[in-house]
Formats: sequence, structure tokens, C-alpha cells
Amino acid sequence: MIHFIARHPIAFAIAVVLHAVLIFLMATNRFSDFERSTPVSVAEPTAETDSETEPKAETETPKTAPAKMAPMRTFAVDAEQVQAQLEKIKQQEAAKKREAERLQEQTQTEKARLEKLKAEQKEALVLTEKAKRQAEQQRQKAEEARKLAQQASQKAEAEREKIQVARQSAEKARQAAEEAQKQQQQAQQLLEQAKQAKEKEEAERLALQAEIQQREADKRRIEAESLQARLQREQEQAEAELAKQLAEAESQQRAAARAREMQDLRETYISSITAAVKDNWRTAAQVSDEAQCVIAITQTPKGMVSKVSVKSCNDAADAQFKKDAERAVLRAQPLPQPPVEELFERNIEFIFKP
Amino acid sequence: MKQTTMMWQTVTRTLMALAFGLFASATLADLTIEIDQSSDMAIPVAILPLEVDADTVLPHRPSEVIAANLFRSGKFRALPERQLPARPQALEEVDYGQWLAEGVDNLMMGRVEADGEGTYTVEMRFVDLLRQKQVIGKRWRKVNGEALRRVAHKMSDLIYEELTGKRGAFNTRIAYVTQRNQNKERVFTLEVADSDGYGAQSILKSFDPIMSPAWSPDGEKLAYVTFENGRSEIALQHLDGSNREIIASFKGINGAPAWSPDGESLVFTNSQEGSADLYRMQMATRKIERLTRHWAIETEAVWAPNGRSLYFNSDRRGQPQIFQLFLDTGETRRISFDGRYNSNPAISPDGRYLAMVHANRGFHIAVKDMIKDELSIKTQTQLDESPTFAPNGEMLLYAMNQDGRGKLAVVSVDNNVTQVLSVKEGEVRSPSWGPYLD
Repeated sequence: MIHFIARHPIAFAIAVVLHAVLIFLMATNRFSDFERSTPVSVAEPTAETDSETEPKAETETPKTAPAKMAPMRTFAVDAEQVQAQLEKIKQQEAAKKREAERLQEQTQTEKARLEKLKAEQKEALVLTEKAKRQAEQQRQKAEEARKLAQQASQKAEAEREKIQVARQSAEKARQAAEEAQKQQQQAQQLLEQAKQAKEKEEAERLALQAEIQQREADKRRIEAESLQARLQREQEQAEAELAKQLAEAESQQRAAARAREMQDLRETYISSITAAVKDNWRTAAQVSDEAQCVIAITQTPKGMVSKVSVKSCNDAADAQFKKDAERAVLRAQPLPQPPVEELFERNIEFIFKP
Repeated sequence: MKQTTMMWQTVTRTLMALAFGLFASATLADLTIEIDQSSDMAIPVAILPLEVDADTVLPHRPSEVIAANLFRSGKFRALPERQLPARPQALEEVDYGQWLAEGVDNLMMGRVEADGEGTYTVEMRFVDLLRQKQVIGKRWRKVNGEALRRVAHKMSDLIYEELTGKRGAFNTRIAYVTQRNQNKERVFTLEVADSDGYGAQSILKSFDPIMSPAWSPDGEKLAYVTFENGRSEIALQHLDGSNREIIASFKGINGAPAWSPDGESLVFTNSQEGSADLYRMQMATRKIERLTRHWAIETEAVWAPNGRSLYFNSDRRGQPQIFQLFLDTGETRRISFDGRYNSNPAISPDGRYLAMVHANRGFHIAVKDMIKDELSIKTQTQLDESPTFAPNGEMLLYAMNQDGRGKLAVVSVDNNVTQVLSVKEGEVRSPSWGPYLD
């Protein structure tokens, strides 16, 4: 391409000039009439929305069209150029359409924005109005307050004057009153003296009465007190009695518990003796398994057997069994000592069964 | 069955024997007693040696006899002499605490005095150390040297009775048969000895078998089976060898004699009718009466102590079992039910225990408690047979086999303690415990 330009500078220059001219022409819209003469009907972008709803506008358009289209028929171009031109126009139309759409969209957006703005302005207006009203009200209130204050100061002035008058009359009245009071005091004193005498008498009478009452009261009180004391004594006695009974019950319980414990210990003691005798049971005789006897022991405090007797035996216990049981007791000497000394029993009986 | 088979074999052998003889001899053939086991239950007793004057030498030591007797019972053991802490000679000298500390509850002491006529006066005291009193005091006068043993047995009986409540059976005798080889010939003897095996005397010697000696209730005679005439017969003789006679030589077998408790009749086995049955002979008239009629073998009869029934062995149920025959009604009932083989019945003197040979992994002596209806096996020895009760029922004597030899053994009925009695160079069989001697 560069080589081509270098070889044909003139041709290239001519071509450039030609193109420049063409561009200029197009830019200055010299072909606007041509463009409108194309069979492709393109509505005005601004009118598009209307054209669909208003067929009237469409019918009007052809009336003006023939006059404007006339120069186009004479414009000789070859078919290809025309085709290319048409293509180009088509594209331009499409671009325009897109542009129109975009514009419409923009318009709408703008419209919405304007409406919004309008609403905001309206709102601002309302707010301003409101503020204005409030300010007016405050102003009126302030005015009223001022008026009231004025009235009040006037009133106070009147009041002061009134007080002044009143004071003077009060002074007069006071002096009169003092005079009256003095007289009244004198009368009062007389009355008072009489009254005191009377009161004294009354008091004496009352005192006497009171004394009598006092005595009676004392008497009653003493009686009441003695009754109270008696009751208290009785209650104390009852309480003491109860406490005693409780103490007795408790000691009885303790005694019972101790008795139980002693009983348990005694059983342990007796069974330890029984066990000791059993341990020492030895026999060479053939003894029945059922044989059993009651063994009565008399022992010394040291567990030595001073007397042993075998009694109330069952039928299985023969003479030899009795003899051997006796021997077992003797062999068990010294018998086990009791767990506590007081449990010692000189005479013990237990059932023996080897 | 076994018994009968053995009997027949013996009969055959006897028929083949060429020589037989009869001797009444006084040869001593004492039984040796081996202590087989002792019981933990044995109660210690102190048996003090009897005091004797320094110049007197006793032929027997009674204290040793007593100690051995007590030990053999299985119930007591005498303290060895070296363990005796003192030798008190009078009751006042006994320090009770000292003896009790030894674990001994009873003490025997006494003395033997020569009276200058070759006899002795024997005195014994038995002291209960627990009750601190003498419980037995006894004196025997004019006791000759040999009778010292007899006195010792009597003392043993008293002690035994004091300690067990049962009369002792030491002062008794036993009979048994020995067999030994003499000049390539078998010699059988019928022996009578003290209960401790001492003082054995042969009352019969034979080259033919002797079997089943039976004591008369008075203890003066023995009936037994002899093959001296080539077949089994029942002979009767006094212990001194006098008045010997064959009382049963009926057709067939004559065997297993048993005295009635009153001694007036003898039951024995005879097969004159073909099968062995029990017969009763009145001793006064020698008349016999058939008691059982059965195709089976009925033998080994023993009398119930009350004399009203017999226990015997019969194989009428296919194997030998013990039956009881009531003599008044002739009714028979089976007694043994344990095991397949029970034979050789022996009844205790109180009638409570029935001993028998019981087959259970060998032949052992079992005792049936007739009141509790319980059978217990008493022996662990081999091929046990011929049980016989001591007259107090406390011990059983029986024959058994040990080391391939026939021996006797004694077992106490209530604690199974066993002693073995044997003879030197021979075998012992067919024991029979005699009655009380007095």
C-alpha cells in the first residue's frame, strides 16, 4: 500500500482530495434530500410513538414527500453504488433508530428526573410554607406574651397602690385593735382569775376523784397482778411439769435404748458361751443330729463353772449326749467374759445343739 | 452267684483231694494287727501304767492292752507314755489342771499286786478330769498271769462304756479260718482268738477247706462247714474241741449255718431238692424244716435279733440281692436295692444296720441303715467278704484281700477307721465275731 502511494503520489493526492470533498459534502448535509427519497420509509424518531397511534400524521407525510423527492430521480448512479448507498443508508437508518431509541430512553429518564425534581421542589415549597406559618405563629405568640407582660406590669402597679392604701388603713386598725386588746386583756384577766379559782376548785375535786380512781385502779391492778402472777406461776409449774415429763420420757427412751443395747450384748455374750461350748464338744458316741438340751450353768466371775446341769432334752438326746454336753461345758472353762462387766450372770441357761 | 460258684469249685477241689486229716491242736497263730489309719476325731485319754511292786514282773502289761484296744476303736488315742506329765497313784495326787493342759479329759490309773499265791489283785480307777471325780473304780482278785489280758479287756470295756455310752466289746473272741501251705499241702485251721487277735488257738486243723464258722449265742460252741468227708457238711463242736459232731450231711450242699438268737435252732443251706434253699434244724430233735421253696439259690441266712425273721441272699431276681423272710407268715421281701450285687448279709445286734458285700467297682462292705433307708460303703479294701458285727454293733470285722493274701480287717461303723489283722505266712478268711463273754 505504501509502495503504491510512493509510486503514484499524484493519484493518491487526487484520491485524498476527492474523498475530502465528498466528506465535506456529506457533512454539510447536501445529500439530505437524497436520503429522504429512499423508498425505505423511516418515520421521524420524535414522531414514532405518535405515528402508531395517529394514522393521520402518516397520511400527511406522502403529500410533502413528492416535492422533496423530485431531484433524486435524476441522480444517476450505478446500481452497485445505489445498492451500497442503500446499504449504507439502511445502516444509518438503523443507527438512527438506535439513536432515537436511546434518545427516547434518555428523554424518559430525563422526564422522570424532572418529575422527581418537580416533586422535590413541591415538597420544598410545602416545607417552606410550613416554616413560614410556624414563624408567623411564633411571632404572634411573642406579641401576645409582650401584651400580657405589659398588662401584668400595669396590674402590679395598681396592686402596689392598693397595698399602700391598705397599709395605711391597717395601721389605723392596728392601733384601734391594740386599744381594744388592752381592754379585752383586762377583762380577760378578771375572767381568768375567776376561771382559775373555779379551775382550782374543779382540780381539787378532780384530784380527789382521781385519787379514788387511782386507788381503785391500784386495787384492781394489784388484783390483776396477783392473778397474773398466779397464772404465771401455774404456767411455770405446768411448763416445769412438762419439761420434767419430757426429761423423764427422754431418760426412759435412753434407758430403753440402753436396755436394748444391753439385751443385744447379752445375747452376744450368751452366744459366745454357746459357741465356746460348741467348740469344745467332743464325743466318741454316735449322736443324733437332732439331739439338743438346755444347759444350765452356774459360774464364777472368772468364768469357772461351779455347777452344770443338763435339762429339758429332746428325745434324740440320750444319757451319753447329756454327759458329753456337760463335759463340753467344763472343757470350755474359763467361759468367755461378758463384753461389759455388768452383764455377767452367775446363772446362765442356753440351748445346746452340737 | 459268685459265692455259690466258689463253693462248687471248692467242693470239686475237695473231692479231688487225696488226704485229709483232723487235728485238735493248741498251736498259736496270733493275728498281727496293722494300724491302717487313725482318725482325727480320736479323743486323747491318759492310760497310766498300772503300778506294781518293784520285784513283781507281770506277764502282760494291761495298760498297753487297754491303749491298743481304745486305739483300735478309732475313737480314742492313749497318750504315749513319755508324754504323761505325772504318775499320780491316788486321786488326791491328781493335778487336774496339769492334765487338762495336755488336752486330756480322762485318766486311768491303778495298781497290780501279787498276792503271793501266783495270782494278782488288780485295781483300776478312771477319773473324769473335767468333773474332777472318779467315775469308775474296780478291783479284781485272784487274777492269774494269763488272765491279766482278760482283765485288761474288761477294763477297756468299762472305759469304752463310760466314754461312749455303749458297752465295750473288747472282752470278746473271734473265730476265723486260716490257710497256709505246709509240705506242699494246704492246711486249714479253725482259730479262736481274743478280739485283739491275741491268744489264737486252733480248734480244728484240716487238709480240706473249713468255712463259715458260726458262734452259738452262749459263746460255747461253733458250727461250721467242713469238707473232711469229701463233701460239704456242717459240724458242731465246743471250743475246747470236745463234743464234735457232724450235724448236717444231707444230700447236696450243706452250708452257711446260722444260730437262732435263742440258740435252739440252726438255719442252714441245703440243696437236697435240687436248688439251694434255706432249712431250719431244731437243735434238740435235729429235725429239719424247709423254709424257702424257690428255683433260685437261697443261702447265707442270718437271724434278725428278735428271732422272727431271717435275712438271706437270693438270686431270684437274676443277681444276688438281700431278702427278708418272715418266719411266722412265710412272706419274703427284698431289702437291698442299691447296685446289681449284694450278698453276705450281717445284721447289727440292735437290728438297725444291715451289712453286706456290695459290688461297686470291686466288692466292698456296705452298711444299710434300716431306719433311714440309706446305704453307705464302709470299706476301701479289695474283695471284701464275710462281714460280722461286734456284739455292741460298733465295729465290723470282715475278710479282704491285700497284697494277694487273705486278711481280716476291722472297721468302726461310725467313722470308717480300719485296722488290718493278718497271720504270718498264710491267709485268713471267714471271720465271725463271738458274743460277750460275760
